[in-house]
Parts: sequence; C-alpha cells; structure tokens
Amino acid sequence: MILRKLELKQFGKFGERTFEFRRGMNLVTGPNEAGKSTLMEAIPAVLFGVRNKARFKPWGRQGECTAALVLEDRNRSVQVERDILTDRVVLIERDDLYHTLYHFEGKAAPQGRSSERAEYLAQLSRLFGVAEDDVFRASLFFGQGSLELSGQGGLGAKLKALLSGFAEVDYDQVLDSLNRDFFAVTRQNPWGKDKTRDRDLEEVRKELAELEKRWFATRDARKELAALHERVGTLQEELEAGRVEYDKGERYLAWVRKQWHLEEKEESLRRHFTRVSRQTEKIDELEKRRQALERQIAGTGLPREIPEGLPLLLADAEKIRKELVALQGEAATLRQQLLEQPATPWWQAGGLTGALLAVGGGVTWWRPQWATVSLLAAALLSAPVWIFFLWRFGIRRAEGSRIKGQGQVLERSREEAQARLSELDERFEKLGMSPSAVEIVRMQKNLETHQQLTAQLLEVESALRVLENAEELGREKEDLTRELAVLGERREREPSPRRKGLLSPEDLPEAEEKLRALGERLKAGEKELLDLTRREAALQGELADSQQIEEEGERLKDREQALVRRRDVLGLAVEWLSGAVDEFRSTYLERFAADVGRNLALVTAGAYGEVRLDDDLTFALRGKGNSWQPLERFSRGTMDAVYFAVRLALTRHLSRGRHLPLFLDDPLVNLDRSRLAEALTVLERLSGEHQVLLFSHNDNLLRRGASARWHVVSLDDVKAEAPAARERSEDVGQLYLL
Amino acid sequence: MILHTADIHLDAPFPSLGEKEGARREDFFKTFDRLLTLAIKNEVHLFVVAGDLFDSPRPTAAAVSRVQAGLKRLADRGIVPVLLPGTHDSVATSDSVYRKSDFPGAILLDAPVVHEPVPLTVAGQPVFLYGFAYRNFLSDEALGSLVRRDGEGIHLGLLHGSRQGSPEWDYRKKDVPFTLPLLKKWGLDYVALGHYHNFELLEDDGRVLASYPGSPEGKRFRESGSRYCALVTLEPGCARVEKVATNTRVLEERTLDLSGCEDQRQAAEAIRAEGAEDLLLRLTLSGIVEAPLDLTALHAWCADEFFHLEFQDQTRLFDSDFARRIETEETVRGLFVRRARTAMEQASPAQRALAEAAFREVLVRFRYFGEEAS
Repeated sequence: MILRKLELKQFGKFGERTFEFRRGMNLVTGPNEAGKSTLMEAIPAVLFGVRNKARFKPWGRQGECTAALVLEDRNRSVQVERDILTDRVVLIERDDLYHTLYHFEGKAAPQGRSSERAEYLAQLSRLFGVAEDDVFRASLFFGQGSLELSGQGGLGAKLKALLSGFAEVDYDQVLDSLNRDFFAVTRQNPWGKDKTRDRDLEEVRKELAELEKRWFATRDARKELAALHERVGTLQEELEAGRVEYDKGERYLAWVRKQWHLEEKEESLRRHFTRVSRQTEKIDELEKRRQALERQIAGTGLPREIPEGLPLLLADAEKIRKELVALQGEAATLRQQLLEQPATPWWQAGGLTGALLAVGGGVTWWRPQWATVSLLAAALLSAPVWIFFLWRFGIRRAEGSRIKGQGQVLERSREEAQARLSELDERFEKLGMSPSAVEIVRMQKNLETHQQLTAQLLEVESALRVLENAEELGREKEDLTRELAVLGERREREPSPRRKGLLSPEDLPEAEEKLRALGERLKAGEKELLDLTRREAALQGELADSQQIEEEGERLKDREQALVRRRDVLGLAVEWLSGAVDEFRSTYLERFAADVGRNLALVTAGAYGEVRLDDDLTFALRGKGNSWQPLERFSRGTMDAVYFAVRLALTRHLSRGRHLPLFLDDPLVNLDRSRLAEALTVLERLSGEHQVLLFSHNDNLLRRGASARWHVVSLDDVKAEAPAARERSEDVGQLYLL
Repeated sequence: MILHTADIHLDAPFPSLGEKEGARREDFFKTFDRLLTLAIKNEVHLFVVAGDLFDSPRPTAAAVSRVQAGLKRLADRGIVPVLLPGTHDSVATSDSVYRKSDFPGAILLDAPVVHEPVPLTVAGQPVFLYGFAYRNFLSDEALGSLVRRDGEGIHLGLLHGSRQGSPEWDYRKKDVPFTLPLLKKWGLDYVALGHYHNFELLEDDGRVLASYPGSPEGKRFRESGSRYCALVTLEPGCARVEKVATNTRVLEERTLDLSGCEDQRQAAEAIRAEGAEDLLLRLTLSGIVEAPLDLTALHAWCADEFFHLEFQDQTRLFDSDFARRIETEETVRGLFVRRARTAMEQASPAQRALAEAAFREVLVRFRYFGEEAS
C-alpha cells in the first residue's frame, strides 16, 4: 500500500497544494521551515485528527482547513478526507475499476467516543492495520529526532498487545467465552478448583441418577410385583384351605358343643324329668296317702271335720258304751255262763247211747254171740252217762236262773244306758250326724286315730300344697317327654361330621383354643392379603410410569451425551487456544526480538544481529565480549539503529503483508557517514517492498536521491499550485536497488 | 370395513420444541380428527385403536374430553369405536384413564386375558373381538388366549405388542413379544397391531394376516415422511389393507452439503431453501466449509422457514483453504491452527469429529470477537 496523493487545503502554511508520491523511495526536501514537518504531520492529522486544532489553522485565514490523502493498493484505493476543524471525515474505498466498495462519512474526533468514530477506526484497522495515533507514531511514522520508542505507559502495553496479536482478535475474550460456555455445561474445572454451582451436565446427571433410581425402583417394583403376585396366589390358596378347615372345625366344634349341649340339656331334662317324676310320684304317693287317709278317716266314721262337741259326745258315748259293753260284757259273761252251761248234751248222751248201741249193734252183728253182752255193756255204759247228764243239767239250771236274774238287772242298766244313748243321739243329730250305734262306737274308737289321721292328713295336705300342682307337673312331664324325644331325634339326625368320635368336654376348650388360633391366623392372613393387594395396585401404578421413565431416560441420556460432547469440544478448544496463546505470549517477544535482530543485522550490516527484549520493552544488545548490555550503554548511532530496526519490525508486524509506507522525518541525523550509507542502503532495499517517504533537508540525501532516481518532492516551490499532474503512471513494482 | 390405527400418543410432551410445543400437540389432535373424518367418509363400521391412544395413563382432562367427543361422533353415526389400552396408556394403574373415564359408545377391551371374545353384530354380520389389555409382564402369558374360538362370522384380533423380526425390534422395547408364525397359529381373520410406529404389512402366502399402521403423526425423528392409518376391508378368511396418509406435519432427517460455503449467508441461503412450513427437520450439515459457521446465528436466520429446525453440525473447517491460510501466520491464530493440525494428525477417527468441532468453536469466536484479515 502506498501513499499516492496528499491534498492540503489551507493546512498550516499550505494553501491549496497537492503532493504526489510514487512507489519506492520518495524524498521530500526543502529548507527548514519549508513545511516538511507540517507535511509529514498532515498524514496522521488526516487519519487521526488533531487535538490542538489551532495548530494547523491557516495563519491569518478563516474558513476551512482540510486535508486528504489517497492510498493505493494492488486492487483498490482509499481516500480519506478530513476537515481538520470539524473532524468530519470522508473515507471512500474504491476498487481498481473505480467502483465504490465502501463509503464512510461522519465525525471522527481524535478523542471522541461516538459509534461513527468507532466505525471509522474499524475501517482504518481493516485497511491499514493501524487505527491509533500513538501506534502509528511508534511504527511507520518515524517522527522527528530520536527513533526511540517510549516503551512506558499505555504505549508499551498497546505495543505489547499489538505484538501479542491481541489487536485483531482479543484472545482473552475468546478464551473467556470458551470458558464461560464450558462452565455453563459443567462445574468440573479440569484446570483448577471446581466451580461451586452445578451446571447443566451435573443437573442432567442428577436427573438421570434420579431416574435410574426410579427405574431400579420400577424394576424392583416389577420383581416385587411378581413375587407379590405369587404370594397373593399362595396366600389366597392358603386362606381358602384355611377357611375350609376353619369351617369344618367350626362346624365340628359347633356340633360337638351342640352335642354336649344337647346332652347336657338332655341330662338336665332328664334330671328335671326325674325330679318331676319323683315329684309326681311323691304327689301320687301323697295323694294316695291322702286318699287312703281320707278313706281311713272316712273309715273312722267320723266326719272329716270333727264338730266341737263330738269328742265329748263320743266320750260320753264311749262311756255309755263302755258301760254298755261292760253290761254287755257282763251280760255276755252271764250269757256265757249261761251258755257255758253246757247244754245238756242231750245229743251227746244220745250220741253216746247211739254210739254205744251202734257199737253194740256192730258187735252184735259181728259177733252175734256177744250180742247180749254188748247190749248190756252198752246199757251199763249209758246209764252213768245219763246220770251224769242229769246232774249236770240240774246245776246248770240253777246257775242259769241266777244268771238270768243278774241278767235282768243288767238289762235294766242297759236300758238306762240306751236311754242315755238316745239322748246322745239327739245330741248327735244336733251336730248333724245320725250315726248308728256302731258308728258311734266306731267313731269313738277312731277318734284318736281320726285325730292322728287328721294330723297326718294335714301333713300330707300341706306337703301336697308345697309340691306343685299335679296337673302342671303332668303337663311338664309331657313336655319334657316330648322334648326328650325330640332331642333324641336330633341327636340321631346329625351324625358326627368327623370320623373321630365326640370330643370330651375337657378337650373342648383346647380344641376351641386351637380353632380360635386358626381363626386369628386366618384374619391376619386376610389382612395381609388386603395389604398385599393394595400394594399390588400401587406397584402397578408405579410400573405404568415405567414407560414414561424410559422415554425420559432416553431423552436425558441423549442430552447428557450432547453435553458431554460439547464439554469435550470446548475443553479441547480451550486447551489448544490457551496453549497457542501461552506459547505465543511467551515467545512473541522473542519472535519480535528475532525480527528486530534480523532488521538490525540488515541495518548495521551484520555488526549487531541479536537483540533481547524485556517485558517492559527495554532492549539489550549483545555487545563486545558476548555479554548482554542494556541498550543505553551503546552509542547513539547504535541505539538509533536498534530503534530503527524495532520500528521496522513493528511496522512489518502491523502491516502483515500490507507493506505500509514508512514515513521518516530526518531520522538519520545521528548516523555517521558509514552508518548513514548503510542505513540508506537498507532503506533502498526496503523500498522494494515498502514505500519510503523521507523528509530531510540534507543535501547529501538530495544528491543521493537524484542519482538513485528517487522521487523527489521539493518544497521550495511551495507556491506552486499546480496539481500533481506529473507522473500518474503506475510505477508498479519499481525497485530502486542500489 | 375397519379403520385401523394405533399409537396416536395424544398429549405427548415435546420439551425440545420450545414454544412450538403447544402447536405440535395440537397437530396430534388434528390428526385424530382427520382419522375420525376418514372413518366417517369411508363409512367404516369399526374404528379400531390398537393401543397407545394416549401418551400416558393420566392424560389431561381436555384431551380426554376431546377423545370422548370424537368417539361419540363416530358412535352417533353407527361406527363402533374399539379401544385397546396399550403400553403408554396402560390400564394397570388404578387411576388409568380407562378406569376413570367412560367412552360412551366404544368397546373397551380391558381384560387381562381373553376368556371369551366380545361379540357384536356389524352390518348384519357377527363379529368377534379378541384383545387383552397390557399389564406389564403378566401379559406375556395372555398371548395364548387370542386363539380363535368357535362361531360363524369375522374374528378380529387386537394386539399391542412387539413382533420379533420387525425392523424396529432392535431399538424398541420388547413388550409382549410375538412372532409371525405364532400370530398365524391363532387363525384370526385379521389382527390389528399396534406399538411399532412404522407402517408394516404382515402377509403370509399372499394372504394379509395383520398390519402395523404405524403412528398417524410422527412423534420422533425416526418416524419420518408420510404417516398412515390402515383401511381394512375384512371378510372371513380374507383381508385387504389400504394405507391412507394422515399426518398433519412431516418429520424428516436430511443431510445438506455446504461445501465451499464462504460465509454464513451462503450457508443460510442453502438451508432456507430446504424449508417448508409444516416440516420438522433434523438437518445434518456436512462438507468442507470455508468459513466458520455460527450455528446459533444460522439457526436464528433459518428457523422461520421451518416448523422446527435442528442442526447436527458435521461440517469440516479444518481441511479448508481458509484454515490453511491461517496456518502459516505468525500469530496466535497461526499457532492455534498448527497445534490443531498436530492434534488432528494424532487423533483417532472418533476423536477427529471432536477435534473438528473444537476447531470450529474457536474460529467462530475469532470471527465474532475480532476481525478477519483478508
């Protein structure tokens, strides 16, 4: 890129003036105060503006103050025009066919902050690689006097930034953005301590872990469900069997109990029955006794109820009777005596006689010889008998009459007694009885018995009263009989549900206990079944989610993979880039120093070829004796050479293939002749690649330039208004080699 | 005449679609309505859904009522809907939609095992329905209950299961697995299958035995292109299947070669050219590009030409001229590219893709944070 034209309008001491330049070496010459410096300063003034606007204001003139420059490249040209006072800038980029590629118009004050200015500077940077005044002056603009770079302050940092390649891309920012994106993915910091907060990857992994847990839970749930299902099945079977058993057992026990119950009942019924029977019997007995007694009582002849006066009566009657009896007795005795008087047993005598006759007859008959004897005997025998009898007869008769006499007395008494008896009869009638004598006697006799009997009867009756009604008992008995019959039937009808016989009542509680235990187990089993079924339902619910879990799992896994990949990509990017940056950073100074060294060798014709550069941009040179000395130790010329080399290196670095023009304002004053010659040689060599604009008043240079066919611009003819019409021809690739 | 569909997955979530999730969900309902309209227009007798009508056993009430209304529409016109619970909308939970809600007019085959087929009369002909509801692992034993029972008429089976040997067998879950010979053994006139999401007609000796209608609206990217339902004309011993397209939008996976693209705009143009309003596209970008592509910016530029756009970046920047130019520079960039080259040469093929991606990442940012020297 070369500076083709510089147009000034009321700039400094220049009115309206156009300067043209060519490739290769250009010399702007003229005496002091001719305006060389002004001309040179015009260039940064156009590009970057001036702070002190008064500086270039035309002396004594009002109006505008503008300057413009045109830079050319292989296939384009750039025109920058600035109104120095208002800082309005026009930048036009055209291609080689003069089509406008880019047009900028706006305000770009040297220290402004507007976005217009930013754009303008961006374009400068794009086109030239230099967008800042100080950098410009540190590089291709070799200002007046010393070539020394002031490495301190902001410039040093800027230069370092430029050198480290940070001008065009802020690698720190890139690294930051990579890091930021990296740490958005994960909190694990492979280059140091982990971050505190979980990022995407961790979150996804956590979610996956959760999901996995849930997945395992469903898997476990599945297994559990299978096991449950089985268990439920077996449990149901068990419960079925258990229930059957239980029912059987229950029935059996119920039957047993019923049997025992029935038996008991029967027992009790029986006992009842027996009791009732006994009672009935007793009652019957008593009844019989009562009846017997009544009969007996009736038999006594006395009425049931003995009227009051009766006993007395009876006693009287008794008495009388006794009397009578006694009388009777006596009479009887008399009679007896009378009777005892044996009747003449006429018949006896007769009998005997007969008998004797008979005997005699018999004998006679038998032994007729004895007839007379026997008859006699008979007669003899009979005679005593008849005597006897007659005697007896007489006694008896006498007795008899005595007795009769007694008897009569007795009779009289008896009649008396009878009369009393009839009196008694009346009294009896009063009592409502009319017993006969016999009855009376009987009554009398039976009075005591009657009393006894009555007493007994009362006993019996009271006993009977205590005992139940015979009727009721009878009914009861009937009922009981019926019940017993029924019971008996029932017992027959229900056979034992078990082969076993009947449990004894002692075993019954134990059996009941067992049954109860079984019942408890069954209940527990049922409860368990209920719980299990509920759990089964819950598990089914969980399992139904398994589908969703799997899908989400897939999704999360995909996301995890993507995140891991991104993390790895970013990690790799960071690694490479930071490696490159570190490497570059650690070596750029060296590289630059190498560049400088090369240039230095060029400039000093090999006298010095190595330079060292510190972090704060202080140079050291390898001096005599191969030791590194700070630059200040060396001569001015050497220092200048070094700085020249530095600036050259810097320019090259900035331009990066653009080959920017170099502007030198009398920079070689301090060089001695040989050095100067060398320097000029270098410059000429350089001019092959970079346009060189030398501003000098040195006549030697002028002579040299003339002979070497440099393009010379003389400022002597300042007043010449002629526009630069000369030599517009392209001097492509013109090399001025010495 | 039957309209056989399955795997509608109503109310499925689409978290990856961001704002478009609502619209996508609505698409599924639109497809459902289309199915109903198809059924009505073709005057089918039965509307068979072989499982996974809903994406979860607990869909939203809105979804349920829409389905109820839809099915009622069919029932009012004399079309009998036949529903089978599937793996996603399984009936195993106690709060499953099939337990909590009714679908009036529809026949629901929710027994765990087929004791007796459900008889109905369709256009004067007796039809027997065989189907059992999926209940996790318990269902593996229920397959045997699908065998044909006695009775004149048409024996129609419904099964939500995985066919061994199907192309989807390898990457899908294998719930209720069965084989084609087993299916043949059941001797049913036709088996309406569900679970696999791609259309597949199962024939043997020229006779159609069963079919997977596939998902009528693609749920994931493997279900690309047109989606179908099956219109089955059924007679005892013979079935004819016609597939009818039903999808509202199309999912596709394509590759686009962006070789030679020198800047982002060119790439964007190329991508936009692929766009269509009802297209959900997973686009793999490939080729050697000459400029680092900022995918986020690119997506932002192109996304409005599509219903949904996803990128998979497999472009290569490293072998481009652009990279080669930078490599020679004595700058950080140059060093970086040189480092990358060393790393690339040592990398295994698997790591190459990673390295390419890292390279791209950095260069994109170079461009973003700085200027490129031309």
